[in-house]
Amino acid sequence: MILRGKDITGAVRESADVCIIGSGCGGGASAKILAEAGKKVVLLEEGGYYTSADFDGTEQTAYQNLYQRRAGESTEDLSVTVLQGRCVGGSTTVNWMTSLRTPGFTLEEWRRRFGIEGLGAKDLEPYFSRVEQYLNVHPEPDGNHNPNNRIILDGARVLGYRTRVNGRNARNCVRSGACGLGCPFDAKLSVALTYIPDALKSGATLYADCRAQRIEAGGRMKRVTGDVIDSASRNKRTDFVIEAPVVIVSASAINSPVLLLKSGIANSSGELGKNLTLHLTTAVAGLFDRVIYPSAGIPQSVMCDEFLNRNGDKGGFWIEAVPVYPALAALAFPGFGKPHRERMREFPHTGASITLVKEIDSAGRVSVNDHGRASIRYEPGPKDIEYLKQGVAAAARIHFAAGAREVMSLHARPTVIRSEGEIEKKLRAASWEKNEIALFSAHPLGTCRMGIDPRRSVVDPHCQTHDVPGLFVIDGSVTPTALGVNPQITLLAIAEKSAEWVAENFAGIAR
Amino acid sequence: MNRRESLRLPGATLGRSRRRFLRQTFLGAAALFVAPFLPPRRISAQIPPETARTLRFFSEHEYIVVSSAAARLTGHVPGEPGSSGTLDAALRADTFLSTEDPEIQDQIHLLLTIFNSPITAFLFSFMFSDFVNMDPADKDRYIEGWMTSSLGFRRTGFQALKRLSMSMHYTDEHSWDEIGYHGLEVPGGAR
Repeated sequence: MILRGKDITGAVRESADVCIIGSGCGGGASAKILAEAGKKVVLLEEGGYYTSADFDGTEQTAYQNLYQRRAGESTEDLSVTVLQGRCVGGSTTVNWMTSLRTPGFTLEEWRRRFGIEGLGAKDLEPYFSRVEQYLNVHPEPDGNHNPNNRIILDGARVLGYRTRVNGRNARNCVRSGACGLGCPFDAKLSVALTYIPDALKSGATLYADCRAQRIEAGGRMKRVTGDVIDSASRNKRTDFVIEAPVVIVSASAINSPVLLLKSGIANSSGELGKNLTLHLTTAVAGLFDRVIYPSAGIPQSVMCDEFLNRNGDKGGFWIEAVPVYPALAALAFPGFGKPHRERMREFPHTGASITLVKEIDSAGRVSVNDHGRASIRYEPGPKDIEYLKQGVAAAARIHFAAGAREVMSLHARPTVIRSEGEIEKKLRAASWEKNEIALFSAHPLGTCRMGIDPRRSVVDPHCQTHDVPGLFVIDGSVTPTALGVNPQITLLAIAEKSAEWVAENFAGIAR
Repeated sequence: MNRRESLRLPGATLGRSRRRFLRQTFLGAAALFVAPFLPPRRISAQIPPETARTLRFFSEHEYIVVSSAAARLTGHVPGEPGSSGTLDAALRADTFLSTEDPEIQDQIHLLLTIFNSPITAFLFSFMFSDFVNMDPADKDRYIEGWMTSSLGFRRTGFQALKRLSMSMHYTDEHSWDEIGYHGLEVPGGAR
């Protein structure tokens, strides 16, 4: 059963075996596993419930309805834009479907540094396989790569850089390129079209437009309280109280720690909200004589991972294509005024690639501001900035090798590179200070870090908080480090494994 | 499209302007302190009565500031050849911001006050005018000063204004023809 804010007229009072807050990878997968195990599941989602009929392929509608803070989430100083879904299905509704397993070196780092057993590559293999099969994850055949992805394939081949073809969770994809705006064709097998319908079939109840404000965890039964909101105005309509012995917080690495901090629980370590990583991202835009038309076709079908953990420090960067829509391009393109407008007129001939850093020395933190909202602070570390620079340089080389006649970085002061020979000089001269270069993140992680030491981590390897039995965090918050790949497969695998553990170990909670 | 639907403006990145960008430096804090006491400058420009009646968030004065900044930022100056006359980024911003969180709204009001203030223009750019009354070349120099400032709060202020203007302009489908964007396209023409 799905209930939307507009359908709810009176205060909601309900009890369940499990209350799950958030319906993205962590919440959606947990809801399916637990509902199919016979638990009474209530799933709460702050965002609205939208279907393909609501997706018109425009930024205006998508940002309004599907993104956290209307795609306006960012660090306090505006230096990093953080893109996250806020709707049923969470970020899987708006991601670009890149489906990659967690690198082995990352999982090994979790074992070695944080003592996490049971999440090695062999342990997760059955979960990866199951998730991939369930979501029809598959690589695209060579003919399906759009010109924007071809830049990476062709350029990297010339330079001898390693590339790979990404898996994607789609079926009957028509290659519209609208993935980031909500798939209007139901081809994307998002959590909203897979895990959640299966959870509902097994009796779960989904409340959309319901924003959890507090968890009270004093006794065996926990109380989740919050607001039912109007989907259009986002104003409060009424309130809800859900009581359950098990509560799973799956509200993302930004909002899960906020909810727990506001509730005053699960923070005996003092680590709650700390250790934020973002997969710090910037882009280069190449200008080509041929038409690229970077908004059309499969957005992200290949990657170049030549520079990831290249020297064994677990850091580095990888390069992927990025679909470019007008407003996103206008925000990212450097400068302003007529030169900016001229660049926008080159839109059809523009190719764009992002470089994503797997951080090793940056420091990020989420706290609660005076209005009860997330306050994100992030200081890039010197090693990560160096990798960011190298990533921009490598992406620029790829573009030139693929035939670009000029390449620009996203520095506020336009940095236009006209030949491969200029790359190092131009990038060395550019400023890498905050708000001197456009930075993004679509992968916030790590703010409820997993580990075996309650003094250094928030949750144990089953995602249960060290402090409160029956209180779990299952989402991107729990990763002890950045991943080095797009996170959805990692998060789904961890969610399935953790939810199974909940089902097995809280068997007595069903009435 | 009914009126209600037409008001569901995009978001792009406007929310980020809510931040306490002015509190990050001494000068920013000083500007923040002084801002409420800055006298509103008389602006000679007029806005059409129908636009004035429509405003839900900006004062008429603020609307003119945003309109003027958006024209320089997007490069679409009303009346200039080739500029889209159908787009009113400031009016769209007004509608968008009218539903934002109060904390964001407060920050935007402050930013506009400080950005347009002749005192700010003098202190930071040695210019003797408020922003809206500068000539176009000075406006561009003034904006560039914010963009490239060594003071973090000014760069952040620039980002806020740029994001507001660009997102309002380029989420409007009237802007698409010029850049060769055709909206949602499907190989084979499905849907």
